[in-house]
Amino acid sequence: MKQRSIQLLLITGILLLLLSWVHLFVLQQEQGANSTLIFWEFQVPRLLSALLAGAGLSLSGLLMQNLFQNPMAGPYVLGINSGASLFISILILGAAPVFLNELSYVSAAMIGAFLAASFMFVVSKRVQNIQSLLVIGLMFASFTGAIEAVLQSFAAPEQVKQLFIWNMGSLQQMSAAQAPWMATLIVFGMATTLFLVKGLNAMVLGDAHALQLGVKVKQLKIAILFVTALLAGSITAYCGPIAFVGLAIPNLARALLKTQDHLLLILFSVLAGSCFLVAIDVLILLLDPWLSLPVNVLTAVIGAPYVAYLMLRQR
Amino acid sequence: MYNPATFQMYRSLINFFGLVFFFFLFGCTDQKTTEHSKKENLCQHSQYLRIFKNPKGYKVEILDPDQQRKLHVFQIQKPYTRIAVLSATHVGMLAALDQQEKICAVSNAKYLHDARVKRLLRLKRIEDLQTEMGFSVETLLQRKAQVVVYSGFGNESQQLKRLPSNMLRIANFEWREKTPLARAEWVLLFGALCGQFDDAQQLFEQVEANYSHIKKEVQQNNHSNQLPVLLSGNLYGDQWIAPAGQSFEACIYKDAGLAYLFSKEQGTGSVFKSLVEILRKGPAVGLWLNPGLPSRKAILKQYPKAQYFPFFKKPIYCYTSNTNKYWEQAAVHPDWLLSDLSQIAAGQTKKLHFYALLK
Repeated sequence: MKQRSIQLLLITGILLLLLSWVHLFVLQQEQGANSTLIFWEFQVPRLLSALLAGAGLSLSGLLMQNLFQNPMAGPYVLGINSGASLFISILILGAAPVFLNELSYVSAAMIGAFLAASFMFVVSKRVQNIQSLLVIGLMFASFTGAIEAVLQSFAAPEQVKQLFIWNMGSLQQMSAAQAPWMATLIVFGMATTLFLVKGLNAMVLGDAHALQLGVKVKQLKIAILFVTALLAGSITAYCGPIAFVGLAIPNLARALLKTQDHLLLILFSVLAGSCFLVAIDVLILLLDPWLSLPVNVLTAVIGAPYVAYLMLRQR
Repeated sequence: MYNPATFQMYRSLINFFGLVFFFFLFGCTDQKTTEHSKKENLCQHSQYLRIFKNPKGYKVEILDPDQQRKLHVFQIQKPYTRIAVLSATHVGMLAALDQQEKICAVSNAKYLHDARVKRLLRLKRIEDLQTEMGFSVETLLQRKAQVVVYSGFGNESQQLKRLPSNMLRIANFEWREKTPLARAEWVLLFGALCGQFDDAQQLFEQVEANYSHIKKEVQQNNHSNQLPVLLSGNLYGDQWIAPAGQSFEACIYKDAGLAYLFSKEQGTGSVFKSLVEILRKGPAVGLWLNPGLPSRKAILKQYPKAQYFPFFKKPIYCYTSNTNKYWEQAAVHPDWLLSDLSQIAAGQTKKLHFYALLK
């Protein structure tokens, strides 16, 4: 079993390298005076965005599924992205321009994501049914959307426009200067998760069993909430809300690896998440001569039927 | 074998059918011409608006741009005095005719530019319906609106369907027209509604004359083949949204002597382009129009990587110094718009009506 998992990890890693090479050197070959500038300022950050956002969203989805003991949990469907969006909206529409900087964006998104994740976690203790939890997640997203709409009615047209653009989600917004910041946050989140592997494995058997194994369940859950907020919040701050990756990839990881060993699941989710978003962006580049598609359209086209399939399988 | 009798018979038959064909051809044409002269369409440019004068007043036909069938056909017998307008463009058309007093409701009042409309709003003589799509039917009934003019985006909203049958509702498809003059011609509809048709016609004729004059001047002065290459629009998420090649914007760019980057793109609405394509075509661009933001700083705030656009250092013009003035007046005054654009194209801006150079 472990050998098969390692083989799958290797195959996914090779596929990721191949897709990244196609993304950067085959589909985006530029010639002319600005080719170097375009390469470093537009093409490399775009690929990094796909790699980091795919990895981070998949990992946060895996952590949430463990925390909620629910395979349908994910940062998008449970409204974690919506929490981050709401706080960014408050920042864009309410804060003085001097406070609008990189640190404030990331902090606002992380606080919003943390509060939303905590709220959903408290709710999940009272609601055992998967469908009910998903409906509450949807309601929460509608609620945050409504608050955003109210805030927009008081805002200047430029602010509304800025928020509208940000809400569309994009892998092309991050600049080369921002890339190290995003990379640091995501890598820090991943590294922290590796320290939680023992606890995550124990949690699969339930809280009581984990306690018997000496796991500090309460601290572990707070750590999971913190890492989830860090990952989902920072990705939302840099790329806007990106749908379905966090839900679909961890489920795919479990289905393919057929294991509950979280070290393997984490590694596979990170690689497969990156692979998925890079593949989506490769598809966008391939289709570019005929039609220009936003990233969320393709993630939804592939992700939504998969989520529907998972829900049917749950029944 | 040649037979003179058979030849004669064929010749008679050909002559007979020729005569019948001739009779039908000219007979039909005559009938058509007579019918046409009875019902002369007073709109010369518009594709979707037809106005006919008759003894009772004006008969108006509005065509659905997607299905090319008549969407509204109505007779205006007497002027309307309580008109609800759901778009800034409609406010501009009524303001151009000095008929603001006849407006009973508007949408998104906080963005409006016209000083008289703003005063009437403060006096509560005009109601703010907030959004165009979600207005209150009850408010319109309370305000005793006789006519509701809306933009006609997609299907009619539920609110419009709930309006009583005696309240005239009109889809204003000026935004779907292919030329700026066709767009401006919709002022005739507002003229007919308010009982100011002659004034509207006079205004339009003046606009048409000014437009043609400026266009002619541009053509005469433009001896060089090196037209400034224009890029319009901005990046929204992953997509650059710009006017399509057959839109009225593309038409006015051409008339102003600008070489529009997407002039060959099909469609009358918008085109969606990837950032990759914009970067590839960017070095040829000499002028960036309508980024939708008021300054270069605002552009960079929204998208920091804009500093690397090859055209970011080139002149950037936008109407954002007074956005709603543009939305209210540019449709009815394409001559002013053409004047602005031709000055920008020539690189000599003396008096601009809507545009400003972004700093």
